[in-house]
Amino acid sequence: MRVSEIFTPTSLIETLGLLRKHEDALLWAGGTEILRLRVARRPELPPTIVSLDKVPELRAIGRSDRALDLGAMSSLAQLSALGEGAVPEALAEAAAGVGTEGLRNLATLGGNLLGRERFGDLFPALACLDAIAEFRSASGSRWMAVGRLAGRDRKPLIPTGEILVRVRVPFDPWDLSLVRKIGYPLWPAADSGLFTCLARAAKGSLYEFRAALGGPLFLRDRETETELIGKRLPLQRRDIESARASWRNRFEEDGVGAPWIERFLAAVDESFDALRAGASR
Amino acid sequence: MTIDFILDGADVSCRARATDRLSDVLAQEFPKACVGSDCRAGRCGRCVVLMDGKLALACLVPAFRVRGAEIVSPRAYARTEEGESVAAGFERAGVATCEFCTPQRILIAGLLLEEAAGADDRRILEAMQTVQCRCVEPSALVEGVRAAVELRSARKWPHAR
Ligand SMILES: Cc1cc2nc3c(=O)[nH]c(=O)nc-3n(C[C@H](O)[C@H](O)[C@H](O)COP(=O)(O)OP(=O)(O)OC[C@H]3O[C@@H](n4cnc5c(N)ncnc54)[C@H](O)[C@@H]3O)c2cc1C
Ligand code: FES
Ligand code: FES
Repeated sequence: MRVSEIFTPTSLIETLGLLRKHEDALLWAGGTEILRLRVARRPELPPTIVSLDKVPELRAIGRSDRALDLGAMSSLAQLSALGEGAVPEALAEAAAGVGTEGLRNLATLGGNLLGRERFGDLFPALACLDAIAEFRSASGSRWMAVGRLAGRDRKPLIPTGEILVRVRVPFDPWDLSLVRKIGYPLWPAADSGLFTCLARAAKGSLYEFRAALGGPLFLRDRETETELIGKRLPLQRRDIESARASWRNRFEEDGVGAPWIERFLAAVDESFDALRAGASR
Repeated sequence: MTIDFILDGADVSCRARATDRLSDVLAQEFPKACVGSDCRAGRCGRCVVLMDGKLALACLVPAFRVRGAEIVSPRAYARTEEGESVAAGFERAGVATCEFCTPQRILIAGLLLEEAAGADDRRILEAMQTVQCRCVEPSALVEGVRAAVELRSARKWPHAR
Protein backbone atom coordinates (compact mmCIF):
# COMPACT_ATOMS: atom_id res chain seq x y z
CA MET A 1 0.00 0.00 0.00
CA ARG A 2 1.33 3.43 -0.84
CA VAL A 3 1.38 6.16 1.76
CA SER A 4 -0.43 9.04 0.14
CA GLU A 5 -0.52 11.73 2.75
CA ILE A 6 1.75 12.84 5.56
CA PHE A 7 0.51 15.70 7.71
CA THR A 8 2.79 17.70 9.94
CA PRO A 9 0.52 19.87 12.10
CA THR A 10 2.06 22.69 14.11
CA SER A 11 -0.54 22.98 16.89
CA LEU A 12 -2.72 20.69 18.94
CA ILE A 13 -5.89 22.22 17.51
CA GLU A 14 -4.70 21.47 13.98
CA THR A 15 -3.79 17.91 15.01
CA LEU A 16 -7.24 17.32 16.51
CA GLY A 17 -8.86 18.67 13.35
CA LEU A 18 -6.82 16.29 11.23
CA LEU A 19 -7.71 13.37 13.45
CA ARG A 20 -11.41 14.15 13.13
CA LYS A 21 -11.13 14.29 9.37
CA HIS A 22 -8.90 11.21 9.02
CA GLU A 23 -10.14 8.76 11.64
CA ASP A 24 -7.78 6.01 10.55
CA ALA A 25 -4.67 8.17 10.47
CA LEU A 26 -1.58 6.75 12.12
CA LEU A 27 -0.09 9.08 14.72
CA TRP A 28 3.68 9.10 14.32
CA ALA A 29 5.62 9.99 17.47
CA GLY A 30 9.20 8.64 17.39
CA GLY A 31 8.14 5.89 14.99
CA THR A 32 10.46 3.35 16.62
CA GLU A 33 7.67 1.03 17.74
CA ILE A 34 5.84 1.50 14.44
CA LEU A 35 8.95 0.51 12.50
CA ARG A 36 10.04 -2.19 14.97
CA LEU A 37 6.96 -4.08 13.90
CA ARG A 38 7.61 -3.51 10.18
CA VAL A 39 11.10 -4.55 9.18
CA ALA A 40 10.42 -4.83 5.44
CA ARG A 41 12.58 -2.57 3.31
CA ARG A 42 9.50 -0.56 2.41
CA PRO A 43 7.22 -0.79 5.44
CA GLU A 44 3.48 -1.27 4.91
CA LEU A 45 1.78 1.71 6.51
CA PRO A 46 -1.73 3.16 6.57
CA PRO A 47 -2.48 5.74 3.85
CA THR A 48 -2.55 8.71 6.22
CA ILE A 49 0.11 9.60 8.75
CA VAL A 50 0.01 12.50 11.18
CA SER A 51 3.49 13.37 12.39
CA LEU A 52 3.45 14.78 15.91
CA ASP A 53 6.97 16.18 16.09
CA LYS A 54 6.11 19.80 15.34
CA VAL A 55 3.30 20.15 17.89
CA PRO A 56 4.72 22.31 20.69
CA GLU A 57 1.96 21.44 23.21
CA LEU A 58 3.12 17.82 23.14
CA ARG A 59 6.69 18.77 23.99
CA ALA A 60 6.07 20.93 27.06
CA ILE A 61 7.65 19.83 30.33
CA GLY A 62 6.63 21.56 33.55
CA ARG A 63 6.77 20.90 37.27
CA SER A 64 5.15 21.97 40.47
CA ASP A 65 6.03 20.95 44.04
CA ARG A 66 3.75 17.95 43.79
CA ALA A 67 4.01 16.67 40.22
CA LEU A 68 5.89 16.63 36.97
CA ASP A 69 4.02 17.21 33.71
CA LEU A 70 5.63 15.54 30.73
CA GLY A 71 4.50 16.21 27.17
CA ALA A 72 3.76 13.01 25.27
CA MET A 73 6.49 13.85 22.74
CA SER A 74 9.24 14.08 25.39
CA SER A 75 11.97 11.77 24.21
CA LEU A 76 13.17 9.00 26.49
CA ALA A 77 16.67 10.50 26.29
CA GLN A 78 15.22 13.78 27.57
CA LEU A 79 13.57 12.02 30.51
CA SER A 80 16.76 10.35 31.61
CA ALA A 81 18.72 13.59 31.09
CA LEU A 82 16.46 15.72 33.31
CA GLY A 83 18.72 14.64 36.14
CA GLU A 84 18.51 13.24 39.63
CA GLY A 85 15.66 14.67 41.64
CA ALA A 86 13.95 16.21 38.60
CA VAL A 87 12.24 12.96 37.59
CA PRO A 88 11.05 10.21 39.95
CA GLU A 89 13.87 7.68 40.14
CA ALA A 90 11.80 4.75 38.85
CA LEU A 91 10.78 6.67 35.72
CA ALA A 92 14.31 7.91 34.98
CA GLU A 93 15.67 4.39 35.39
CA ALA A 94 12.99 2.82 33.21
CA ALA A 95 13.59 5.42 30.46
CA ALA A 96 17.37 5.03 30.58
CA GLY A 97 17.03 1.28 30.06
CA VAL A 98 15.01 1.40 26.83
CA GLY A 99 17.04 0.18 23.86
CA THR A 100 20.18 2.12 23.05
CA GLU A 101 21.00 5.83 22.94
CA GLY A 102 20.38 6.09 19.18
CA LEU A 103 16.88 4.78 19.88
CA ARG A 104 16.15 6.81 23.02
CA ASN A 105 16.81 10.04 21.14
CA LEU A 106 13.94 9.15 18.79
CA ALA A 107 11.55 7.21 21.04
CA THR A 108 8.95 9.12 23.04
CA LEU A 109 7.04 8.78 26.28
CA GLY A 110 3.70 8.68 24.41
CA GLY A 111 4.83 5.96 22.01
CA ASN A 112 6.16 3.91 24.90
CA LEU A 113 2.84 4.06 26.73
CA LEU A 114 0.65 3.44 23.72
CA GLY A 115 2.29 0.47 22.02
CA ARG A 116 -0.46 -1.83 20.82
CA GLU A 117 1.43 -5.12 20.98
CA ARG A 118 2.96 -4.94 24.43
CA PHE A 119 3.56 -2.69 27.39
CA GLY A 120 6.60 -0.45 27.08
CA ASP A 121 9.04 -0.25 29.97
CA LEU A 122 7.66 3.05 31.21
CA PHE A 123 4.22 1.58 31.72
CA PRO A 124 4.78 -0.41 34.96
CA ALA A 125 6.91 2.41 36.36
CA LEU A 126 4.26 5.06 35.65
CA ALA A 127 1.44 2.81 36.84
CA CYS A 128 3.22 2.29 40.17
CA LEU A 129 3.92 6.00 40.44
CA ASP A 130 0.15 6.65 40.10
CA ALA A 131 0.71 8.78 37.01
CA ILE A 132 -2.30 10.12 35.14
CA ALA A 133 -2.55 10.82 31.42
CA GLU A 134 -4.43 13.56 29.59
CA PHE A 135 -6.10 12.52 26.33
CA ARG A 136 -7.61 15.03 23.93
CA SER A 137 -10.06 14.59 21.11
CA ALA A 138 -12.17 17.02 19.13
CA SER A 139 -14.86 16.63 21.80
CA GLY A 140 -12.69 17.59 24.76
CA SER A 141 -10.11 16.49 27.27
CA ARG A 142 -10.08 13.71 29.86
CA TRP A 143 -7.63 12.47 32.42
CA MET A 144 -7.21 8.82 33.25
CA ALA A 145 -4.91 6.76 35.44
CA VAL A 146 -2.07 5.28 33.37
CA GLY A 147 -2.82 1.88 34.93
CA ARG A 148 -6.19 1.89 33.18
CA LEU A 149 -4.44 1.50 29.85
CA ALA A 150 -4.24 -2.20 30.72
CA GLY A 151 -7.40 -4.19 30.00
CA ARG A 152 -8.98 -6.95 32.09
CA ASP A 153 -7.17 -9.42 29.83
CA ARG A 154 -3.91 -7.78 31.01
CA LYS A 155 -3.18 -6.56 27.47
CA PRO A 156 -2.88 -2.96 26.21
CA LEU A 157 -6.18 -1.11 25.99
CA ILE A 158 -5.44 1.85 23.78
CA PRO A 159 -8.00 4.63 23.25
CA THR A 160 -8.68 5.41 19.60
CA GLY A 161 -9.49 8.79 18.10
CA GLU A 162 -7.68 10.54 20.95
CA ILE A 163 -4.24 12.01 21.38
CA LEU A 164 -2.19 11.56 24.49
CA VAL A 165 -1.12 15.10 25.35
CA ARG A 166 0.78 14.75 28.60
CA VAL A 167 1.43 12.58 31.60
CA ARG A 168 1.37 13.89 35.17
CA VAL A 169 3.67 12.08 37.57
CA PRO A 170 3.31 12.79 41.30
CA PHE A 171 6.45 13.34 43.36
CA ASP A 172 6.08 11.05 46.34
CA PRO A 173 8.94 10.05 48.59
CA TRP A 174 9.82 6.35 48.30
CA ASP A 175 12.00 4.32 50.64
CA LEU A 176 12.31 1.60 48.02
CA SER A 177 12.35 2.26 44.28
CA LEU A 178 13.37 -0.89 42.50
CA VAL A 179 13.39 -1.23 38.71
CA ARG A 180 14.49 -4.44 36.99
CA LYS A 181 14.64 -5.32 33.33
CA ILE A 182 13.38 -8.87 32.90
CA GLY A 183 14.70 -11.17 30.15
CA TYR A 184 16.54 -9.86 27.11
CA PRO A 185 17.39 -6.20 27.82
CA LEU A 186 18.18 -4.53 24.49
CA TRP A 187 14.95 -4.88 22.57
CA PRO A 188 11.49 -6.27 23.22
CA ALA A 189 11.79 -10.06 23.03
CA ALA A 190 9.12 -12.60 23.95
CA ASP A 191 10.63 -12.95 27.44
CA SER A 192 11.43 -9.31 28.11
CA GLY A 193 9.69 -6.75 30.27
CA LEU A 194 10.22 -4.41 33.16
CA PHE A 195 9.39 -4.81 36.83
CA THR A 196 8.92 -1.93 39.25
CA CYS A 197 8.39 -1.99 42.99
CA LEU A 198 7.84 1.10 45.15
CA ALA A 199 7.48 1.02 48.91
CA ARG A 200 7.30 3.48 51.75
CA ALA A 201 7.50 2.86 55.48
CA ALA A 202 6.01 4.87 58.31
CA LYS A 203 6.38 4.24 62.05
CA GLY A 204 7.99 0.86 61.51
CA SER A 205 5.21 -0.44 59.23
CA LEU A 206 4.67 -0.72 55.51
CA TYR A 207 2.69 2.36 54.51
CA GLU A 208 2.65 1.93 50.72
CA PHE A 209 3.57 -1.00 48.52
CA ARG A 210 3.20 -1.27 44.73
CA ALA A 211 4.60 -3.91 42.40
CA ALA A 212 4.01 -4.30 38.67
CA LEU A 213 5.52 -6.11 35.71
CA GLY A 214 4.94 -5.03 32.11
CA GLY A 215 5.83 -6.88 28.93
CA PRO A 216 3.47 -8.78 26.64
CA LEU A 217 1.08 -8.67 29.63
CA PHE A 218 0.66 -6.38 32.64
CA LEU A 219 0.89 -8.04 36.03
CA ARG A 220 -0.27 -6.13 39.06
CA ASP A 221 -2.66 -6.97 41.84
CA ARG A 222 -3.81 -4.17 44.09
CA GLU A 223 -5.61 -6.45 46.52
CA THR A 224 -2.41 -8.26 47.40
CA GLU A 225 -0.66 -4.91 47.77
CA THR A 226 -3.40 -3.76 50.16
CA GLU A 227 -2.99 -6.94 52.24
CA LEU A 228 0.65 -6.01 52.79
CA ILE A 229 0.01 -2.44 53.84
CA GLY A 230 0.17 -1.90 57.58
CA LYS A 231 2.37 -4.96 58.24
CA ARG A 232 5.27 -4.44 60.64
CA LEU A 233 8.74 -4.18 59.16
CA PRO A 234 10.77 -6.25 58.68
CA LEU A 235 8.07 -8.36 57.07
CA GLN A 236 7.55 -11.78 58.66
CA ARG A 237 8.06 -14.92 56.61
CA ARG A 238 4.34 -15.72 56.83
CA ASP A 239 3.37 -12.27 55.48
CA ILE A 240 5.62 -12.78 52.50
CA GLU A 241 4.39 -16.32 51.85
CA SER A 242 0.78 -15.22 52.06
CA ALA A 243 1.36 -12.35 49.62
CA ARG A 244 3.20 -14.63 47.19
CA ALA A 245 0.34 -17.15 47.30
CA SER A 246 -2.18 -14.37 46.75
CA TRP A 247 -0.37 -13.03 43.68
CA ARG A 248 0.05 -16.52 42.30
CA ASN A 249 -3.65 -17.34 42.70
CA ARG A 250 -4.78 -14.10 41.17
CA PHE A 251 -2.51 -14.40 38.14
CA GLU A 252 -3.33 -18.09 37.65
CA GLU A 253 -7.04 -17.30 37.74
CA ASP A 254 -6.47 -14.79 34.95
CA GLY A 255 -4.65 -17.41 32.87
CA VAL A 256 -1.20 -15.83 33.14
CA GLY A 257 1.45 -18.38 32.11
CA ALA A 258 3.74 -19.90 34.73
CA PRO A 259 6.97 -18.29 33.40
CA TRP A 260 5.55 -14.77 33.84
CA ILE A 261 4.25 -15.58 37.31
CA GLU A 262 7.68 -16.89 38.29
CA ARG A 263 9.40 -13.79 36.86
CA PHE A 264 7.05 -11.58 38.84
CA LEU A 265 7.56 -13.53 42.08
CA ALA A 266 11.34 -13.59 41.68
CA ALA A 267 11.37 -9.81 41.26
CA VAL A 268 9.04 -9.37 44.22
CA ASP A 269 11.38 -11.54 46.33
CA GLU A 270 14.23 -9.23 45.39
CA SER A 271 12.09 -6.28 46.45
CA PHE A 272 11.33 -7.87 49.82
CA ASP A 273 15.06 -8.52 50.32
CA ALA A 274 15.84 -4.89 49.48
CA LEU A 275 13.13 -3.75 51.87
CA ARG A 276 14.56 -5.94 54.64
CA ALA A 277 18.06 -4.61 53.99
CA GLY A 278 16.67 -1.05 54.13
CA ALA A 279 14.76 -1.73 57.34
CA SER A 280 17.83 -3.15 59.09
CA ARG A 281 19.96 -0.13 58.18
CA MET B 1 8.50 13.65 -2.29
CA THR B 2 11.52 15.89 -2.50
CA ILE B 3 13.66 15.95 0.61
CA ASP B 4 16.03 18.81 1.27
CA PHE B 5 18.46 18.44 4.11
CA ILE B 6 22.05 19.01 5.11
CA LEU B 7 24.37 16.04 4.77
CA ASP B 8 27.91 16.32 6.08
CA GLY B 9 27.80 20.09 5.88
CA ALA B 10 26.40 20.36 2.34
CA ASP B 11 22.84 21.22 1.29
CA VAL B 12 21.46 18.20 -0.53
CA SER B 13 18.18 17.25 -2.13
CA CYS B 14 16.75 13.97 -3.35
CA ARG B 15 13.50 12.26 -4.21
CA ALA B 16 12.25 9.43 -2.05
CA ARG B 17 9.05 7.94 -0.75
CA ALA B 18 8.03 9.72 2.41
CA THR B 19 8.26 6.55 4.49
CA ASP B 20 11.53 5.25 3.07
CA ARG B 21 14.09 4.73 5.79
CA LEU B 22 16.85 7.34 6.00
CA SER B 23 19.42 4.51 5.97
CA ASP B 24 18.10 3.35 2.58
CA VAL B 25 17.89 6.89 1.22
CA LEU B 26 21.51 7.51 2.19
CA ALA B 27 22.72 4.18 0.81
CA GLN B 28 20.98 4.74 -2.51
CA GLU B 29 21.27 8.45 -3.10
CA PHE B 30 24.43 9.32 -1.20
CA PRO B 31 26.69 6.26 -1.29
CA LYS B 32 29.77 8.36 -0.51
CA ALA B 33 28.43 8.86 3.03
CA CYS B 34 28.91 5.07 3.46
CA VAL B 35 25.97 4.63 5.84
CA GLY B 36 25.17 0.93 5.89
CA SER B 37 22.32 -1.08 7.34
CA ASP B 38 21.97 -4.70 8.38
CA CYS B 39 18.88 -5.30 10.46
CA ARG B 40 16.57 -2.36 9.55
CA ALA B 41 15.12 -2.87 13.00
CA GLY B 42 17.17 -0.62 15.25
CA ARG B 43 19.25 -3.44 16.61
CA CYS B 44 22.68 -3.62 15.01
CA GLY B 45 23.63 0.06 15.11
CA ARG B 46 25.24 -0.13 11.69
CA CYS B 47 23.13 2.80 10.43
CA VAL B 48 23.82 5.24 13.26
CA VAL B 49 24.19 8.90 12.24
CA LEU B 50 24.06 12.28 13.93
CA MET B 51 20.71 13.91 13.35
CA ASP B 52 20.53 17.51 14.55
CA GLY B 53 23.46 16.81 16.84
CA LYS B 54 22.11 13.61 18.40
CA LEU B 55 22.73 9.94 17.73
CA ALA B 56 19.93 8.42 15.69
CA LEU B 57 19.39 5.03 14.11
CA ALA B 58 18.76 5.95 10.47
CA CYS B 59 16.75 2.79 9.77
CA LEU B 60 14.10 4.06 12.22
CA VAL B 61 13.89 7.54 10.70
CA PRO B 62 11.46 7.98 7.81
CA ALA B 63 12.39 10.33 4.97
CA PHE B 64 9.57 12.74 5.87
CA ARG B 65 11.31 13.46 9.18
CA VAL B 66 14.56 14.40 7.47
CA ARG B 67 13.33 17.53 5.69
CA GLY B 68 15.39 20.45 6.99
CA ALA B 69 17.46 18.26 9.31
CA GLU B 70 21.22 18.19 9.59
CA ILE B 71 22.68 14.74 9.16
CA VAL B 72 26.33 13.85 9.80
CA SER B 73 27.57 10.46 8.68
CA PRO B 74 30.08 8.58 10.85
CA ARG B 75 32.58 8.63 8.01
CA ALA B 76 32.49 12.43 7.78
CA TYR B 77 32.61 12.74 11.56
CA ALA B 78 35.71 10.53 11.70
CA ARG B 79 37.49 13.18 9.60
CA THR B 80 36.71 16.02 12.01
CA GLU B 81 39.14 17.14 14.68
CA GLU B 82 37.13 15.30 17.37
CA GLY B 83 36.94 12.20 15.24
CA GLU B 84 40.66 12.20 14.65
CA SER B 85 41.42 12.61 18.32
CA VAL B 86 39.18 9.64 19.15
CA ALA B 87 40.96 7.55 16.52
CA ALA B 88 44.28 8.52 18.09
CA GLY B 89 42.95 7.58 21.54
CA PHE B 90 41.75 4.21 20.25
CA GLU B 91 45.13 3.60 18.67
CA ARG B 92 46.96 4.52 21.84
CA ALA B 93 44.79 2.17 23.92
CA GLY B 94 45.21 -0.60 21.33
CA VAL B 95 41.47 -0.77 20.55
CA ALA B 96 41.08 -2.84 17.41
CA THR B 97 37.64 -2.36 15.85
CA CYS B 98 36.74 -3.60 12.39
CA GLU B 99 36.09 -1.56 9.27
CA PHE B 100 32.32 -2.06 9.65
CA CYS B 101 32.00 -0.35 12.98
CA THR B 102 35.03 1.90 13.44
CA PRO B 103 33.45 5.14 12.13
CA GLN B 104 30.27 4.54 14.15
CA ARG B 105 32.28 3.94 17.32
CA ILE B 106 34.37 7.04 16.68
CA LEU B 107 31.18 9.06 16.30
CA ILE B 108 29.76 7.76 19.58
CA ALA B 109 33.03 8.23 21.44
CA GLY B 110 33.36 11.75 20.00
CA LEU B 111 30.02 12.73 21.52
CA LEU B 112 31.18 11.42 24.87
CA LEU B 113 34.27 13.64 24.66
CA GLU B 114 32.02 16.60 24.14
CA GLU B 115 29.84 15.87 27.18
CA ALA B 116 30.63 18.64 29.62
CA ALA B 117 30.90 16.66 32.85
CA GLY B 118 33.06 13.89 31.38
CA ALA B 119 31.59 10.43 31.02
CA ASP B 120 31.98 7.66 33.60
CA ASP B 121 32.59 4.05 32.59
CA ARG B 122 28.90 3.15 32.80
CA ARG B 123 27.96 6.01 30.52
CA ILE B 124 30.64 5.03 27.98
CA LEU B 125 29.53 1.39 27.95
CA GLU B 126 25.90 2.38 27.65
CA ALA B 127 26.57 4.70 24.70
CA MET B 128 28.72 2.10 22.96
CA GLN B 129 25.88 -0.43 23.15
CA THR B 130 24.29 1.41 20.23
CA VAL B 131 26.63 -0.66 18.03
CA GLN B 132 26.14 -4.37 18.65
CA CYS B 133 29.22 -6.53 18.43
CA ARG B 134 30.90 -9.21 20.42
CA CYS B 135 34.35 -8.91 18.91
CA VAL B 136 35.61 -6.07 21.09
CA GLU B 137 35.93 -6.20 24.85
CA PRO B 138 33.73 -3.43 26.25
CA SER B 139 36.55 -2.54 28.68
CA ALA B 140 38.86 -1.87 25.71
CA LEU B 141 36.36 0.67 24.36
CA VAL B 142 36.25 2.40 27.74
CA GLU B 143 40.05 2.59 27.71
CA GLY B 144 39.98 3.94 24.16
CA VAL B 145 37.60 6.74 25.13
CA ARG B 146 39.65 7.48 28.26
CA ALA B 147 42.83 7.68 26.19
CA ALA B 148 41.13 10.09 23.78
CA VAL B 149 39.95 12.27 26.68
CA GLU B 150 43.47 12.27 28.13
CA LEU B 151 45.03 13.18 24.81
CA ARG B 152 42.66 16.07 24.38
CA SER B 153 42.92 17.40 27.91
CA ALA B 154 46.71 17.16 27.91
CA ARG B 155 46.58 18.87 24.52
CA LYS B 156 48.87 16.21 23.19
CA TRP B 157 46.67 16.02 20.16
CA PRO B 158 48.19 18.54 17.77
CA HIS B 159 44.90 20.12 16.69
CA ALA B 160 43.22 20.19 20.07
CA ARG B 161 41.52 23.48 20.78
C1 LIG C 1 15.77 -1.98 18.72
C2 LIG C 1 14.61 -1.62 19.59
C3 LIG C 1 14.74 -1.74 20.95
C4 LIG C 1 13.67 -1.40 21.78
N1 LIG C 1 13.83 -1.58 23.12
C5 LIG C 1 12.81 -1.26 23.94
C6 LIG C 1 12.95 -1.45 25.35
O1 LIG C 1 14.02 -1.83 25.85
N2 LIG C 1 11.89 -1.12 26.12
C7 LIG C 1 10.72 -0.64 25.62
O2 LIG C 1 9.80 -0.35 26.38
N3 LIG C 1 10.55 -0.48 24.30
C8 LIG C 1 11.56 -0.78 23.44
N4 LIG C 1 11.40 -0.62 22.09
C9 LIG C 1 10.09 -0.21 21.58
C10 LIG C 1 9.94 1.32 21.28
O3 LIG C 1 11.11 1.83 20.77
C11 LIG C 1 9.61 2.13 22.53
O4 LIG C 1 8.50 1.60 23.19
C12 LIG C 1 9.37 3.61 22.23
O5 LIG C 1 9.23 4.35 23.42
C13 LIG C 1 8.14 3.86 21.35
O6 LIG C 1 8.01 5.27 21.22
P1 LIG C 1 7.85 5.97 19.80
O7 LIG C 1 7.75 7.42 20.04
O8 LIG C 1 8.90 5.55 18.87
O9 LIG C 1 6.44 5.36 19.36
P2 LIG C 1 5.76 5.27 17.93
O10 LIG C 1 6.34 4.11 17.21
O11 LIG C 1 5.78 6.59 17.24
O12 LIG C 1 4.26 4.98 18.38
C14 LIG C 1 3.85 3.79 19.01
C15 LIG C 1 2.31 3.77 19.04
O13 LIG C 1 1.81 4.79 19.87
C16 LIG C 1 0.94 5.67 19.18
N5 LIG C 1 1.20 7.02 19.71
C17 LIG C 1 2.41 7.57 19.91
N6 LIG C 1 2.28 8.79 20.48
C18 LIG C 1 0.95 9.00 20.63
C19 LIG C 1 0.17 10.08 21.18
N7 LIG C 1 0.76 11.17 21.68
N8 LIG C 1 -1.18 9.96 21.19
C20 LIG C 1 -1.78 8.85 20.69
N9 LIG C 1 -1.09 7.80 20.16
C21 LIG C 1 0.24 7.87 20.13
C22 LIG C 1 1.32 5.51 17.72
O14 LIG C 1 0.25 5.83 16.86
C23 LIG C 1 1.69 4.03 17.67
O15 LIG C 1 0.56 3.24 17.53
C24 LIG C 1 12.45 -0.92 21.22
C25 LIG C 1 12.34 -0.77 19.84
C26 LIG C 1 13.39 -1.10 19.03
C27 LIG C 1 13.26 -0.91 17.55
S1 FES D 1 20.22 -1.17 10.29
FE1 FES D 1 20.53 -2.16 12.16
S2 FES D 1 20.16 -0.56 13.56
FE2 FES D 1 19.68 0.33 11.71
S1 FES E 1 31.57 -5.26 14.49
FE1 FES E 1 33.40 -4.12 14.35
S2 FES E 1 34.65 -4.89 15.87
FE2 FES E 1 32.81 -6.02 16.04
